[in-house]
Amino acid sequence: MKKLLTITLSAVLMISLAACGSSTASTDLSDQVITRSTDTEEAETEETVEEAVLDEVVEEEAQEADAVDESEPLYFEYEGVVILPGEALAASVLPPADSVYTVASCAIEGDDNVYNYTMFEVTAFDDGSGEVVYSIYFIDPNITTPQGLALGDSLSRVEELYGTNYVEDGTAVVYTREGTQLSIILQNEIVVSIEYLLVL
Amino acid sequence: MKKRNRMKTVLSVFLVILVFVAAFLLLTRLLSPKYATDLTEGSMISQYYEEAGGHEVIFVGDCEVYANFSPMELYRQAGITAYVRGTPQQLIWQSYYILEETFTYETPKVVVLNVNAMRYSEPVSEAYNRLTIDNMRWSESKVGIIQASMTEEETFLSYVFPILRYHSRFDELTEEDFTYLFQNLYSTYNGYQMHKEVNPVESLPTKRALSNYQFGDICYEYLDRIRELCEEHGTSLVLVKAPSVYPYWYDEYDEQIEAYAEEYGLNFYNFLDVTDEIGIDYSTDTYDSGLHLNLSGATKLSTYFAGILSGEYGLTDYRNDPEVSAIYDEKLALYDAAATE
Repeated sequence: MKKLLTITLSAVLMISLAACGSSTASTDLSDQVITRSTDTEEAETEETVEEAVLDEVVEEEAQEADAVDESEPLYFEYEGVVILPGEALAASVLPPADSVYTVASCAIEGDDNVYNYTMFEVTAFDDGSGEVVYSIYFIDPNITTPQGLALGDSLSRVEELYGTNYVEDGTAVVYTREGTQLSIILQNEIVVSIEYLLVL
Repeated sequence: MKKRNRMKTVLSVFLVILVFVAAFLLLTRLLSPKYATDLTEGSMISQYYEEAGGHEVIFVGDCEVYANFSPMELYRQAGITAYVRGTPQQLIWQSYYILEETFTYETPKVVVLNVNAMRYSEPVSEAYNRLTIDNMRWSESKVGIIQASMTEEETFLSYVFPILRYHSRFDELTEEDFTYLFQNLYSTYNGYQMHKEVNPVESLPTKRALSNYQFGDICYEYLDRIRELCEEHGTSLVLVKAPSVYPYWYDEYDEQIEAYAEEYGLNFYNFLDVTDEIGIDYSTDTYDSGLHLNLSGATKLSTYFAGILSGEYGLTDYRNDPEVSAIYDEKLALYDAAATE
C-alpha cells in the first residue's frame, strides 16, 4: 500500500514538474521529491523512483535549453542586411534589385513597390517619410530565414525552428511577434511559401 | 399683442434653426472631399444620377470595369447604350447594393459583373468605402451598403453626418473645396475613366502561393443575391474577368466561377484567355504595367465585347434611333476630343 502511495505521489509530482515552466522551479520540486521519498520505508523502490524522477528532471532541463525562443523578433537577413517589416527599406545597403514593379492602388493610398532580388521579393510602401518594408517573400529554395527555414522544408522542421505557437490560416501556419507575421504556406506538409508581413 | 409676441418668438426660433441647419449643411459640404480634380473616382457614383435611365447594359465591379470597358466604344461599334457603375475596390456586396439601387432607376437587359471582387471576403479599407458610398443618394440601398461595408473603426453615423468624419479637413482645405462647393465636376464617359498613358508590362511580381483559394461564403451569398435580383427583373447576368494581368487571377478562382456559371446557366467570359484574339498588346495597351488597360486597350476590349453583347443578348442598335443617337453623337464628340487632345 505504501509502495503504491509512493509511486502515485511521485507521479503526481512529476506531472507538476512537467506543467512548471521555469527551470528554477523544476529544481526546487526535484528537491522536494527527494526529501519526501526519503521518509518512506521501502528504500530500494524509493531509490528507483528517485532516479527516474531525477532523469526526468534532467531531460526536462535539457529540452528547455533547446526550446525555441518565442520572444525572438521575426526578421529577415540578407548579406548582412537585416530587413524588418515596418522598418525603413534599406535599399541603399541592399544590392540593386533585378526589377521593380509598381503596384498602383485603384485610386488611393499611393503605390507599393515590389523589389525583386531574384531569390526573394521585398514589397515596400511610402508612409510619407520614405519607403517602409511591408513584406518579404521567398522565391528561391536556396535562401533561408535566419533560423534556417527554407522552401521545401517540412512542417516538423517549421515547428522545430519556430515552435508550435502559431495560428492556422487555411494551409498556412502564421507566427506573429512584435508587429511582424511570418506566414508559412504548406502543401502536403511541405513549405511552399515563406513570407514576412507587417501587421497593419 | 400677446399673440403677436408669440408669433415673433416662434419665427425667431424657426429662423435660428434654419440658419443653424443651413450653416451645418454648408460646413458639411465645405469639409467633405469634392473628388473633382483629385481622386475623381469618388465622384463616379454620383455622376450616374445625372445620366440614369435608358441603358441596356450596366456594368458593376471594381476598377477593372471602369478602366477597361468603354461604353462609348460599345455604342460606336454596335449602338449599345451602356453605363459602368464601377468604383475603386468595389466589393461584391457593394456591387449588389449599387445594382439594387440601379434597378430603381432603370431595368437594363444585361448586367455585366466583373468577378475580381470575389477574392475579397471582408471590407478592405475605409478610404475605399468612402469613395464608393459617400456620394450615393440616400435610399435603402445606401443603408444596406453602409452596414455591409463598414470596417471596425467606422460608424454608421459618420455616413449620415459626414462632418463627423471630415471635420479635421479644416486645415487641409484647398482651392478645389471652394471652387466646387456648389457644383460637381465629372470626368468619366458613361462611367469609363479614360487613361491614354502607356506604361508597358516589363516585369510582374512573383505569382505567390495562397493559403486558401476558396471564395468566401459571403461572396457567394452576394453573388446569389445579384443573380436573383437580375432574375426578378428579367435581366441577363453576364460574368466577366477583365484582362488585367495583376493581381493574379488564379486557376483555382477561375474553376469556381466556371462551376457557378455552369450551375446557374450563366455566361462567363474570362478575357485573360483571349487576349491574343482581342489583340491586346501589353507593351502598348496598359497605362500601369498591366493592372488596367489604357484607352487603346479598352477600345480593343470593348470592340470585342460589343460583338458578343450584340450577338448574344439581342440588344438594340440605337445608332438608328434619332433621339438616342443625337445624345450619343454629342457624347462621342466629347469622348473623341478627349482621346485626341
